[in-house]
Amino acid sequence: MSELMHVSGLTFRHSDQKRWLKKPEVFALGPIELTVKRGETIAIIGENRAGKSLLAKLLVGAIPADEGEIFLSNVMYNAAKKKSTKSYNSSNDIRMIFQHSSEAMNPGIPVGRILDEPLKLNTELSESERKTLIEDILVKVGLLRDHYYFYRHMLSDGQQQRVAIARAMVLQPKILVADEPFAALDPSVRSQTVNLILKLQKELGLSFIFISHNLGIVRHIADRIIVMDGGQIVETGKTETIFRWPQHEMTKKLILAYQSLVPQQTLATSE
Amino acid sequence: MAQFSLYQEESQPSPWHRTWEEFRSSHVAFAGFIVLGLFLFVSLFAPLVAPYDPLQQNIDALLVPPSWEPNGTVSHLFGTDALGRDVFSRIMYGCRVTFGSSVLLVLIAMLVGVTIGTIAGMTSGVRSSVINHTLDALMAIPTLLIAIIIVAILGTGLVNSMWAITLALIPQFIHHTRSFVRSEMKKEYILASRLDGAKPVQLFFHSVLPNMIEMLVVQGSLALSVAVIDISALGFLNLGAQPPLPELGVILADGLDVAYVAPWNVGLPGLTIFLMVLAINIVGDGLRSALRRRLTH
Repeated sequence: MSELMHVSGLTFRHSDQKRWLKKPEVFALGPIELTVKRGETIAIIGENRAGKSLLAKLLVGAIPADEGEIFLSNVMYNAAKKKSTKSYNSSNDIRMIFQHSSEAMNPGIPVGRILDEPLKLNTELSESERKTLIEDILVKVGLLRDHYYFYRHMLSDGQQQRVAIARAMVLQPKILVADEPFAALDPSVRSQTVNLILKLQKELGLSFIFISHNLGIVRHIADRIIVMDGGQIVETGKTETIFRWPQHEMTKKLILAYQSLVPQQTLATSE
Repeated sequence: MAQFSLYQEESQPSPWHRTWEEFRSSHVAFAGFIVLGLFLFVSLFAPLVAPYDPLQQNIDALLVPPSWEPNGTVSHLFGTDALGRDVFSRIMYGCRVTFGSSVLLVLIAMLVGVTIGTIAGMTSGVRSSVINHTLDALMAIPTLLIAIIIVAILGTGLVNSMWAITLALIPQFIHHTRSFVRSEMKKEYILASRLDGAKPVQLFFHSVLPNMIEMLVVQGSLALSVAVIDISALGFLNLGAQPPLPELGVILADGLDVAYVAPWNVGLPGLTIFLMVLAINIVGDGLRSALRRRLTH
């Protein structure tokens, strides 16, 4: 497996200065070192306010970092320098699925135009080519071609999730970053979405970085786990290694909490 | 491609079609729409449909009552005024002047207000605040007073009163647009578009504007009814349009002299103004709920 993305020294400092009648808020992230291989699935776990979502946003370039370098498919980007997201994101090799897919969909325009936007802005395709591409991707994520004309309020949560995946996939990225993609879904739709992502990953060979609180899913699909606490990566390793021999305090807590929810798991390890 | 070939709907209703269907389902709104359409038609084609020249005086037919009165004639449907001018034709031309100039000035105010408001909403800090509040001083003074000041400086006339009302309408468009754009820019789909590489202009036209139509319709219809009332009020006070020009407020003021002898000279133009404002408000309200329902079911 070749190396697809390498992050070194990525730092972010929350620069909320002290204002009148307001305590200064201090939050620092990093420095983060991270390597992503082709076709790999990485899960980021940790407590609330551990900086997981922030890391995801820094990775895709939604928020500019203070320091650090990102190598993406052998091109180096200075994460600190970019004022706008444009220069870095123009490679389209990394795309994001947002935490609440319903909020990430514009209610005023139909699905087709939502999916058309990234194509229009980043490719030279003609209108009819774009339309066939969008119809293809809709079918690929398990929707119908008719959904091209649907508005947000006509779709269920699971369908909105599929549109969010379609939107991320439409530019054929190499890495997909997802912020709690399974949080708001019911079990059956959740497993459908998991299977969909696994299928797409197998077909297209993309790397998948996701944040989740659901350790069951993490154990099921992740190759590697990153544990975060207080803006730092405290532990990283193969999924089974982390689950069987957690080293750090925070990891132990998380794993223990998960195992207490799944009684047969504790039985299996005690035998 | 799919494994199955599925039946695909031949045609999907367009957004406008959907809004129209929702709008049509409300009978009151549709009735208002017909009345407003009538006014629009009359304003556009007054010279073709009006039976007489609105300025043509006829000494043989002074103060002829409307046709439904026992001594009225069909040749003058709404009767004639003190100078023998046909009231029906005058009201038709009056709609043209009042309604036409109101629509024009609301469009100008909306364009200017939305542009400034969007710039204020997309920038931040002191700059945004300064842009936002540039025209606020105008809000402190009532429209009619601004008009009187402008008329005092530039002289009376329809165009001057139009400028005054346009200026007075701009600040509310700025404020509503700014607060709307502000709240919209915080939403996640804007971030998603931005990650696609959208520039601010593209963000506005592609992501913000489609959601802003409802707000624009509400504010536009409010502004339009205010404009109609103000234009005719200024005409009535002899500050706006000047007497020979058939403007509804002016016709009303002219008729006031003979109100006891010929009440139709006051009642009919007044009724026209009332109907016009009512129709604008009903249509604006119906359009708003139609646009809102389009996005909920």
